[in-house]
Amino acid sequence: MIQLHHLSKIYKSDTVETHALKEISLQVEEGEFVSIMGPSGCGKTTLLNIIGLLDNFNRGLYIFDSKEVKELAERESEKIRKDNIGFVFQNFNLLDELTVYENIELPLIYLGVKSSERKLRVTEILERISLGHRSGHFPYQLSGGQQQKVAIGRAIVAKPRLILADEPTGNLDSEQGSEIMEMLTALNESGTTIIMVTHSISDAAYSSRLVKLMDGHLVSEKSFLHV
Amino acid sequence: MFRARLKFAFRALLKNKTYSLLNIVGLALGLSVSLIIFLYLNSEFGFDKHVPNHETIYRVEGEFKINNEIEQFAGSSRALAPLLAKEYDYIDDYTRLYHIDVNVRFKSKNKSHYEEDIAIADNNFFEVFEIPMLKGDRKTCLKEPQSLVVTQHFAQRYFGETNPVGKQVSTSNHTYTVTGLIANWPSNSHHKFDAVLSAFNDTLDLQEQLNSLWQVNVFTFLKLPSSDQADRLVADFPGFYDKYMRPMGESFGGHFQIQLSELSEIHFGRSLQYDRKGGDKSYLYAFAAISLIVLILAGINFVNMATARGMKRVKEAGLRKVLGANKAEIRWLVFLESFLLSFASLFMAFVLVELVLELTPFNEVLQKDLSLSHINTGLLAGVALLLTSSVSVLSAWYPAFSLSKVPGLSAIRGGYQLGKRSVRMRRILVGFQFCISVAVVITALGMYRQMNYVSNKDLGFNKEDILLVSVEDSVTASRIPKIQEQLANSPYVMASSTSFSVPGRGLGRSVFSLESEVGGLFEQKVIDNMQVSLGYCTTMEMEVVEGRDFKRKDNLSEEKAVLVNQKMVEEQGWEQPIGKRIRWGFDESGEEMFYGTVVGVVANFNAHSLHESIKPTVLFLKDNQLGTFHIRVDSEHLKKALVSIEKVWAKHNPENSFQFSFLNKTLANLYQEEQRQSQLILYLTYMAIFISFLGLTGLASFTTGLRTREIGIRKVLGADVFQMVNLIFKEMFTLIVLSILLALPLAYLLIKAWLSGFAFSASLNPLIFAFSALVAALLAYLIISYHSLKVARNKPVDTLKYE
Repeated sequence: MIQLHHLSKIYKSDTVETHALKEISLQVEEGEFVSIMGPSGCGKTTLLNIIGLLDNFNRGLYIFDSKEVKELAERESEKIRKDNIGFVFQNFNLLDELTVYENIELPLIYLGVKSSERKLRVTEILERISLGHRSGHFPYQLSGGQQQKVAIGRAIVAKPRLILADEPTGNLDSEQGSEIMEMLTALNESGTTIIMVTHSISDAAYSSRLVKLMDGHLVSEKSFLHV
Repeated sequence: MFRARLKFAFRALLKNKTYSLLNIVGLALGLSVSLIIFLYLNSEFGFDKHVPNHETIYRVEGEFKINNEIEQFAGSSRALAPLLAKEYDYIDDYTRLYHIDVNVRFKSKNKSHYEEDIAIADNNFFEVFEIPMLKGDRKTCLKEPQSLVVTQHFAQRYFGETNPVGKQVSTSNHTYTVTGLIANWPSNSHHKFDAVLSAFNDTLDLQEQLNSLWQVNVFTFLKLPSSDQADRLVADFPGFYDKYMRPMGESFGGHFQIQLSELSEIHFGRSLQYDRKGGDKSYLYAFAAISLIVLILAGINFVNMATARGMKRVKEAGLRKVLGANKAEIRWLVFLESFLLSFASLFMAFVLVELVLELTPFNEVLQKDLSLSHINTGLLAGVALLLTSSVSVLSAWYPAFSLSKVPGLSAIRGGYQLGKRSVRMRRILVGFQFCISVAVVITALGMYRQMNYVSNKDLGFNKEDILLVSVEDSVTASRIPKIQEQLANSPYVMASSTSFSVPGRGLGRSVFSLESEVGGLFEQKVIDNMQVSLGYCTTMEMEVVEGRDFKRKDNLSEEKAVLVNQKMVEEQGWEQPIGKRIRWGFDESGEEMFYGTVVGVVANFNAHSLHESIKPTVLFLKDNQLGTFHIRVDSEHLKKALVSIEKVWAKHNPENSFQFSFLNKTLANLYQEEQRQSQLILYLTYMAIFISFLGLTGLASFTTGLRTREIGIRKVLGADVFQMVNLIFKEMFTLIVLSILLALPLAYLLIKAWLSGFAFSASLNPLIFAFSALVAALLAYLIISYHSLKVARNKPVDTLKYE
């Protein structure tokens, strides 16, 4: 599904060049659950953003579903994102002035889904994340774990094939964190590919493969065997 | 300490170059508008105050009462002042002025120009007005006949930089010697001229003087020791009237009284017949209000930008606090920056004003000589400082106080947001700005339409291509038929005729006895009248709608033929106007001397300016008369026409120089003030549009700035660019629609008020309103789209990081 070959990302300012990613090569197959770990500033989030077509890169090759990403027009990469990818952020990134229901509904609106079907799908998601009773609440009325559930709900409502999660449990306590990880695992088991950036070994243990980054280099890859 | 603060403030401004520049430019524009209007008002309110002893100079104005109708004139008889001075010894002195309102061609060696602003004055004119002479002697300069005192402007045209005194200029029949040079006569003078001729010689005997007291031919100025003496003279005048004027007055039921106006109060005084163009103070107050509004509009931008920037500086303020700055310290910094910015704007405004006044035709268009150097420096500095300081204090107030309250630590950590409350205020301010701008635009369009209407309206005659030549003596008058005969041979002259009066310069008004519809009954009325010679209607291209035009044999018949206008027919209720009888001219026993019969009706024509409605008018035939010779020329060959007319004129009337003016220009002068106002409003419109464009830009970038994170999230979730532009526009849509809706009635009231000065006005076209509203909304959409696009186009990762 995802192939990166010798991918590099350089931030340039007037005087300094920062190599955020250096010669990264990585393959992710459909249905995998990959964790990316590494110290702060090693380029994890940058890598995730590039994979999610939110950011561009300077050198190398990125092939998504056999399409070379670098040559895509803005509009095309928007379309790939819309149709295939859901995002989960550490700080949830919910829209404050929209209710739980409306937050989850948003991607469907942008996909042009009819209102009757939207209702069906949002209700289904709300049940899945067990927040049906909270659908009219605003984000600030929810706990962190609930907010992240809403964010995950929003990420999966359009049925993406790939979920990119950037430290999804980073702002949560351990109980809420494991709840979120259970949800992601369940999603993965139903066929969704997941790439997750994390600082937590225990979170990484939920995944099928662990990728370690250091100073922009990919330093090791390791597969977990789940029983 | 202060130096350190100044350094901080400077650095902060340099760091945000775009912000600083926008701020400076915006405010500089507002300030320069205010400065220019201040100069304009200063000049207008200073009318004639450049005359050193203006408080002691009074103009004699006349109030004629004929059959209970009062007619007020700015001028008076040339015989009046000498008799008054003889009668009342408290009159210190008097001087008289006469404006030659036509083009006179002056020649000196190889230079030749048509001069428009030439006056004739008593030989003591410059002494009474105490005008300093640059060259020549004030006491004697106009003593000799054929003397000429010129302004620098005039001298420059004929003699360049050399001393003009002693040099000669000539018209086609006279040679004048320049005897004095004065500075250019300021534009804010009610009585303006470029050169003054010596001319009056009082050779009239007493009887001739008495006879001429009922005429209006010159402007008379008295020098009085104080305003008490002016009141005294007005009170004493009935004695003078009894002694010199009553017998003649009684013969035709007339009465006369003088009024006196102090020199500097004439321009904005009562509106009088035969006066120079006066001013209207209410317009000046309107301009003052407008300049204040423009300044407020610019000030709003300044405030808004300062607030927006304040919101971005929360972290910096927090850091400063953690490092030990107290509240006052932070306020100081914000105020200091604001002062630096506004004084930079002030400096730029002065440069702009100087550039506009010196390098653009601004002064020419407004017929002014505004200049920063003409004004008292202290006053200017005071006004400028006051304006600038108030803007800087007002604009820095909110950010200074709210930033100083920022809690240090949480500001550094991020998440502390400043002034969500101020967002609403900003919107209201920008809405106000937008509303005013739209209203100003619509008003300017409305004024422009009216000025267009005024210059293109069918006046009932064709004002184009008519030369006016004044015929002031009977010898010239007797030669006109011969001249006409010769001109008929010129291919460039289409028609010609003489009339006592000229449209736009005032008609005669006299008492007429008019036959009623039933017949027999005669009723007396004061009616506008014109004495014209044969061919007047043809020359003016006026339409005879009923009956016929004058014929040659009308001159011979006992019963005179007259033409009336449609308005007359309408007011008299004449069903059958042809054949109606009219009588006029009363002898000593009160009997009418002339009998006339209506032979034709001419279509209504605007003999007065469009400020006035059309009045009933009688035209009667009189050949070989004094007045103004009208010549219609071929517009394609104006130059050739002028040459051929001047040739014929010089041949048949060699004693008088050929002097002419254009009818269309005479008429255009009637609307000079409005023309000027609409020009000024137009300039202000550009300003207002530009400033509110800046304001909207500021608000749009600010709003999108506040929503950067949201836009990022939406984009990640799949929103496309168009959807996001609409999202932002939707938020500002209500604001824009509301301000436009408020602007429409405001503009309507403004235009209505301005048009109320006209008896004839263009209809208020709703399309102007609709069009302006639409364009404004579209422009707003474009501006907002531009800014939303900028954010929406960002890589989402950048906008999310923004947090």
